[in-house]
Amino acid sequence: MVFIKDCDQILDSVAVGVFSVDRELTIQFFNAHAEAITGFSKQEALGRKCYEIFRTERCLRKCSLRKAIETKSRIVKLRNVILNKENLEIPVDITVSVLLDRDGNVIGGVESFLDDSVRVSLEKEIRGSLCFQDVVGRDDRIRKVFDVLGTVAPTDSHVLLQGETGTGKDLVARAIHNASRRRKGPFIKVNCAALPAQLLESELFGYRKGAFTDARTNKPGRFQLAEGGTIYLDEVGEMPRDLQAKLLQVLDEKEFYPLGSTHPVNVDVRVIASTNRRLRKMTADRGFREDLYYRLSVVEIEIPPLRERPSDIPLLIGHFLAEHARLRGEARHEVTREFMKTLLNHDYPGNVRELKNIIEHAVILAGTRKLDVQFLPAYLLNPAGSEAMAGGSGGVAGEARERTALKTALQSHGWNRTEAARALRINRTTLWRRMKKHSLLPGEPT
Amino acid sequence: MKKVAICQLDGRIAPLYDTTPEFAVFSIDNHGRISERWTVNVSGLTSAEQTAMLVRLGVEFVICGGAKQECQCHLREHNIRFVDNVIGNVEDVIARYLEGTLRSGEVIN
Repeated sequence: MVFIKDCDQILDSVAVGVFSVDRELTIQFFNAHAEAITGFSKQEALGRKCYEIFRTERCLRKCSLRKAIETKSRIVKLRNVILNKENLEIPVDITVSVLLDRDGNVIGGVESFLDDSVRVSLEKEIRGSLCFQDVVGRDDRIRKVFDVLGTVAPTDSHVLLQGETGTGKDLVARAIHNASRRRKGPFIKVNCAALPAQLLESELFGYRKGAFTDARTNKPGRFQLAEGGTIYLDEVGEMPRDLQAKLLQVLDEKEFYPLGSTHPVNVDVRVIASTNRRLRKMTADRGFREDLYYRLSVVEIEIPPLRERPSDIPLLIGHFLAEHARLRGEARHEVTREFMKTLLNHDYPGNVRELKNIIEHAVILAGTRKLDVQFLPAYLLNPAGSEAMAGGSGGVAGEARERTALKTALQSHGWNRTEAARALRINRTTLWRRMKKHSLLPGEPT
Repeated sequence: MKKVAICQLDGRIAPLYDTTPEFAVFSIDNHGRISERWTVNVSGLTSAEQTAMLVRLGVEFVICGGAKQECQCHLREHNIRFVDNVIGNVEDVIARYLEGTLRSGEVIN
């Protein structure tokens, strides 16, 4: 203790909080910076138990200083939060160590701590600005989307998500639900393109026993299952027009008639719809009801394709690698410059989903090795393949290339759509839609 | 009759309201004398649950060490008045309270 008292002046001049305690955790020394951080004066602190002054939630259960004294050890760089005298929570970075006399006997402990507020607030700012729930991005356009999401999510407004396949509309829909007051309620997804019209109606609105030949019992629809929560209508642009009228009724009246029922069912459901088609244009072509479009698009959010926000590619690669490492409990893979360069030069017709699949592919093939170009899917190293699937926006030549790529993939996989979709790195629904567009459905002349 | 609760740890004011292991509860009669005292164990309860328990006990006043904003809100929501940031032993603190001289931020013994 004598040594420490001799050093008072030195310790008062350092920009680190320092205090020492005896074996009973009574404060024996308290420097000027410790006064500044805790708000307690030296006079108030000396002679008190350390947990009365340096107040943290760990004090009573996991006191690091007590542990250092008991184990005669030093514990460095622990992050903690103290409550200062103004009752404000201050994040601190602490180091604790046992104090021994010349004979090696324990005489107490010393704790030094730094105010970590700036770093913690910067970390929060970075985390907050680069993601909204599970949606990640730093590009201006995606950050504007985050801003809108933050404002819209807590409201009950219906939301229309527009964006190409793979841009993350599902994630955004889920994020809106999770950030809303309905988050404890159900989140029900319905893919409007995946079901034939008749089945879609019974799925959405349910039916009563006897409504049709196989209706042996009452069945609740997805709208009823989503009561108190959110229903997510994916690919709403594919919904048949007669069903659109029924959906409009739910939005307007908050009620609907299940198939075969004469009694309406009331529901309290928020609707989030998504589409990769231009719904506004479809209203002009009478492919989509204009009144429904305006009811759904109370808030319209456009999710930009990945090729228009290339600065997000490295961030997303890092995100997927970290996610993969976390799920497998392994160290995060490193990537070579060539690997990164190849990924930066790709135009991602399958958007974020495609990038995620590419990373998964590379990580599996690489094992514990560094990720290099040799672990990338072949089509990335042979740009012709991916260019073909970038179709839809490439004019007549692009359309022709897309049709050829689809046909080749389907033929080489015996017209197995799952296999062909995997080879083209698009999902089955997209494949089906593109097959329809290019008249490649079974039974159609090719 | 008025009830006062003090966050207590080993006979001293517990450093934080939300991690206090127990409350020392005092019934104070109309003459300002302690008519009854007992201890309530609140280990494992959240700050909101602790406050709800104090409400059920009819506590009108709390004396504590540090109290986070959230804890202060819970107390205010239930119209429980409090003196915070007090350091010292419970006996001295309740004596100061009864004298009417206890203030927030006081370090007593």
